Amino acid sequence: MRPLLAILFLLTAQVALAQSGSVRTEVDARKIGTDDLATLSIVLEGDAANLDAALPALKNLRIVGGPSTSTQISFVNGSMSRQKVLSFVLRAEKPGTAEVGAVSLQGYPPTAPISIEVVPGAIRPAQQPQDPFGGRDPFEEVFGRPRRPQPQSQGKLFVEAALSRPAARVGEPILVTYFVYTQISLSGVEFAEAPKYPGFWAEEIERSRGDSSGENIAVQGEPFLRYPVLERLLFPTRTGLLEIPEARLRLVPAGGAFGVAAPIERSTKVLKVNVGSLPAGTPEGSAVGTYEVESSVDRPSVALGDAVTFRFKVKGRGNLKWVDVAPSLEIPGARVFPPRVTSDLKTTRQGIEGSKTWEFVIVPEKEGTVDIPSISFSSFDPATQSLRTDRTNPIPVMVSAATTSAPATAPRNSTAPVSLRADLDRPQTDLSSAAGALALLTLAAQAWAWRRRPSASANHGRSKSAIAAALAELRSENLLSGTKERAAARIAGSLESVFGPRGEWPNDDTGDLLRSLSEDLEFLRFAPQLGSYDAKLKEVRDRAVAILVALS
Amino acid sequence: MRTRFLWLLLSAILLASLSAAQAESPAAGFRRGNEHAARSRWDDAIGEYGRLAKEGVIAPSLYWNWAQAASASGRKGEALWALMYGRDLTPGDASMIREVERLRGELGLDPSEVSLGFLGDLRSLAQRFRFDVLAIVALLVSLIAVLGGKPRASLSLSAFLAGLLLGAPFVAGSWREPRGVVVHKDAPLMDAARNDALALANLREGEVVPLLGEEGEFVRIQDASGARGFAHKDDVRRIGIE
Repeated sequence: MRPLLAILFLLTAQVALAQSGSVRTEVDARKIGTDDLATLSIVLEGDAANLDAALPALKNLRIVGGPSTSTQISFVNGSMSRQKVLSFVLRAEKPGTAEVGAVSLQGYPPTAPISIEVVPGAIRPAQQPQDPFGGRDPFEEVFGRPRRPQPQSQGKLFVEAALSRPAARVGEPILVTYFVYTQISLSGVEFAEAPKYPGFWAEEIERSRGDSSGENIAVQGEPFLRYPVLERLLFPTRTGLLEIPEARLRLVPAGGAFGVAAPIERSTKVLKVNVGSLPAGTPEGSAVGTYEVESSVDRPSVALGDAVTFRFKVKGRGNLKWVDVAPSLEIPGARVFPPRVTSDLKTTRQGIEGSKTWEFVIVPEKEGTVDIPSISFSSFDPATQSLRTDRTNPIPVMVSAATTSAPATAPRNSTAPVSLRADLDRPQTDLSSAAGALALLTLAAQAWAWRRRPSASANHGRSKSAIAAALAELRSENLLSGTKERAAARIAGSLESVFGPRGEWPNDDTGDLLRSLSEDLEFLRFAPQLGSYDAKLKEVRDRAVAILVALS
Repeated sequence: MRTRFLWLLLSAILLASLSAAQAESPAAGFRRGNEHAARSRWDDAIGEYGRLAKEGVIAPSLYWNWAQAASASGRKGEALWALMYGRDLTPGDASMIREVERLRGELGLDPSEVSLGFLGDLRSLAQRFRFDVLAIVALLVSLIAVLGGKPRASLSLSAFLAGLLLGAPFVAGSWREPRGVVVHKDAPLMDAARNDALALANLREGEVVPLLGEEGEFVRIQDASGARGFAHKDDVRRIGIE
């Protein structure tokens, strides 16, 4: 199962990789006359532009022109995209239904067939002598020589960085655009290293695909195609003559053995910007741009203990992203919490546009009217070259008595997401002191037991030689050869030679065994001779041996 | 004469009972603090909880609520101190442990920066898993085994040793060094116990530091980088009962 899954995964990955592009077919009319012409376009985008598409199956159609090929290269923020269009001019053979079959390219899903209705005669408006190649030279790809009166194939290529203005004040936006001027076809453009902007805060421009189309331009009398490659909005952060270092771009011409030639590097020139300071008297951290301010509250009246939300909004165009100091707000008789900041800003060629909002939560602490004061916002307006201060209007908020008379039963304020405990509880009981006392007691008990134990063990182990002698006595051949009284007396004597008299026997398991054995020996010594006691004597002797062996 | 004495005695008893009735119970103060907290009056709530603590009320819930109010008002360091104090009072409270971890994460502190030291952590662990109760059980078993009708020497000795081992963290923990929590952001670490002393570094809010000594309004501490100096007692609060 696992190998199968792995193969499936690889196949899926391969298809996904292969499909970084698209293939589609288009016709310029779905209903034509037998005297009309229709244009079939096979559009190959992305990686598919590197492939060649075969003519699809045609039903009731014949080719009267083409194929012509056109290639478009677009640059969006330094990334390139390619599109190749194969065009055919078609004419219907007879009235009825015609069809353009599916186009299949390896690694791409086949296109859908296109049906065309064909009627007798001509139904399409009379067309101007039409260029079936869309104004492009069909031999451009073959000979590298465009028909358009634009870049002649002189093979020149250079890059340029251009500023929207040579001088600005601190915080004023300057647009820098990187252009590629080319007389040759390119298949790729990239920066050798990211451009640097010392002394500036750089923002990337949000651009659309249409922004990246090239334009014909004459440089010193020579025609070039000019493409914008990258645009950045720069905000000077300090005064003086600031330099934007050269940027190196790596350009890849189209052509070569595999459609790509060796890359060429070109550098822009160093740019200089004269940055002036803001006029004297401008407060520290003021915004630069054109702004409006407004303020609002979420409710005009509130119950004591509840919160009201106050919003202070600045909107306009400039360097609003820089402004990160919250406006000061102090309200007598109310608690003001630090604001939450939200922004809706977009970077355009003219500056950063949008709004920034500071949202304060205010909790009045007394009944009556609480006035939210006017808030001022200072900014330098480059349009009028003047410092301006906008102010909001004061907003009164009516504070009524608390909604319930029993505060403890009032619902918890929604702005206070805390989890409180209602009762004063007791700390965990620490029994370590008790454990310590018990440990001392147990230690004393152990010591007492230890003192008792040595007397027994001393008797037990008074002499290993005594144990050995007793065992030898018990194991002797003639122990059981005499009378039962004598044998019992010898066994008892052996045990007493080790354990001493009965009164000194230990009060444990061994003592219990000894006492039991002693009782049996007493029985053997004093029982009347009514039969043979050999078996009992042997059993008693074995038990005595076992006790001594365990001891040794 | 006797009547006069009786009147005086009666008046004294009456006054004593009146004053006892007027004295507010800790529960009432705690409830008032909770009311402040429920209405987002964090400073008032913390003030009330602080007053109760000064009066000698020792309750984990007091420090839990204190931590909630401090955390909601943005005083994360103080909240962490209150939680660690509460955890010291009730080491088995899982919510305290969870909240300490949450605040530690919010303050961007490493686990080692909120450690009570080896002995302190060992004692806390032993308290959390009730080693004291287990030690008592083991010692009782040992006592019964040694003093019972039939002594069981091996069982008695084993249980006795187990009891000693279980109790050892408590004995070792009694030698732990006191620790405090930095309750204010960027509190200065100074070279001397004076207000005009040179600030050597700034302490991280919520960091648990060993308290090496006291000089007036200052405590001598060592921060996580090993730097030693003095911090104001308002900036570094001691964990646990002195």
